[in-house]
Amino acid sequence: MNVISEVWSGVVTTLKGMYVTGREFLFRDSITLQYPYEKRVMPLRFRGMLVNDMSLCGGCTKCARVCPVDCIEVKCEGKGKEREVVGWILDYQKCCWCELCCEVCPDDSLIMSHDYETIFTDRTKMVRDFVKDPIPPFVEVDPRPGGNPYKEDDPNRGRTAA
Amino acid sequence: MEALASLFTYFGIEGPASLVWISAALTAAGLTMGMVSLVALVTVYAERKISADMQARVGPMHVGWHGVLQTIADAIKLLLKEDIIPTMADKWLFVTAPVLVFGGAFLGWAILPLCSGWAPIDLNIGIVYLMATSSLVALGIIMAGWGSHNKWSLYGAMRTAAQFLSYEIPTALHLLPPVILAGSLNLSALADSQAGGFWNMANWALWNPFCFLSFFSYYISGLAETNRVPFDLPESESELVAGFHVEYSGIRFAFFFLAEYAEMFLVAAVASLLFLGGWHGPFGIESAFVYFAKIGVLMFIGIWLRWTLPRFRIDQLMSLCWKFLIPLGLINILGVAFWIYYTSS
Repeated sequence: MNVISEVWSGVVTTLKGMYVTGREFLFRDSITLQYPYEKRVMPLRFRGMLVNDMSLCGGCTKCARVCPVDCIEVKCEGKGKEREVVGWILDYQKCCWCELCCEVCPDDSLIMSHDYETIFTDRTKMVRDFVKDPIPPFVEVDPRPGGNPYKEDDPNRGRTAA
Repeated sequence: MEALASLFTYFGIEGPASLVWISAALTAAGLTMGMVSLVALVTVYAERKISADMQARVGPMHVGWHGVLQTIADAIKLLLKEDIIPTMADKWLFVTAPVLVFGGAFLGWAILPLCSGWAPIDLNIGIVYLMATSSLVALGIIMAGWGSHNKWSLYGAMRTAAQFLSYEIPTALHLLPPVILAGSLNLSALADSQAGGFWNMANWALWNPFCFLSFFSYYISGLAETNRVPFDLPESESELVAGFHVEYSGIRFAFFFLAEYAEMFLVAAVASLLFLGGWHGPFGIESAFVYFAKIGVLMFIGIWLRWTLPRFRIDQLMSLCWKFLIPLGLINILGVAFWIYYTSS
């Protein structure tokens, strides 16, 4: 009788396992994302590549001062109302994605975009002057046209930069 | 093959009888080979897609529409790959082993009918021939394991020896009840004996209580003979890297692969012929499509089991065979003999 109960339990457990895989086969969709063709929509507060909108930037250098790793260098000329930003240089090699610069930015011009493809083919491209190259090539869509995605009522909330 | 030979004479291809016979044999072999490759292509793709679906993946997607051409691409890759023979390997054993393994599976196809009497060779001792040729696979795998001069492949080969020799017995024993019931060893005759009844299904050998048990036992031992999970001890990836075919690459590896799928089809085909009435479908349909549908269902169950169950331990494998399948086979043979004695008198 021991043999029969063993066989019975073997059959039952096999059928239970087959029920699980069969259920997955019939009723569950795949969770695979075909990566180069489809991209993940990043959560609202995702910290991707740092970008600066130079049309808003006043050159106050708060970001450069708050940066814990000194990856931002701001060059300004003139005084008072003639003050002008002539260079806003960001070193992506140093950036630690802490978002402190965006928090202190009074003009809301600094943004951590939703671009997560942080790959460079050339070291020299990792240091970027946003005055000379205003739109970074790795961000296909401007992450924040006319608004800050971090604000609650912003229409661009949660959209990806890529 | 006789049909092919008569086809040749019908189209006026004249010549010495032996020459006609040889060309008919070669044509039949070529057609069968084509069918083996086609079945392997379709099954490999189906297995990859089905397993992907069971694991919430998508499987091959890039080559062709939803990856339909992936298997062809893989086959071309295997053909073009460098063929490596290890320096310390026993060259002759190493080279002949994949041919022998594939030959063992391919010889079984020679007697596989597509429809009543439509086989390359309509052999009247089909089942005996099938059991004889399938043991060639074990020999080939042991040769591959020994010839590779690699401890993993030797372990795999030794496991194969134990597994195949054990499971040959229940395979043969569990094929006997339907044979006794039909009174023939010919595969076509076995399938034809199950025709008739409600939806052409009522006379299936499967409905005999002893054959019912035999069907499942045969399918289990068939899985074990084709080295499929949960019986893939000879090639268990996690312990033996790839078992007996560790050292094989390129086209020789492809031969092992092809043999596995050819054998899988063979097991499903024999099960459908002996227990499920072969090509006799509902509403009096008698077609190879019905037959292929039955084979497809059986192969799907094999794939389903593969992606459900974990691998057996070697002692569990042995005890399943010797303590359960073989005694059950003997009981079934006796039972069917009594069944026939009491129903016929």
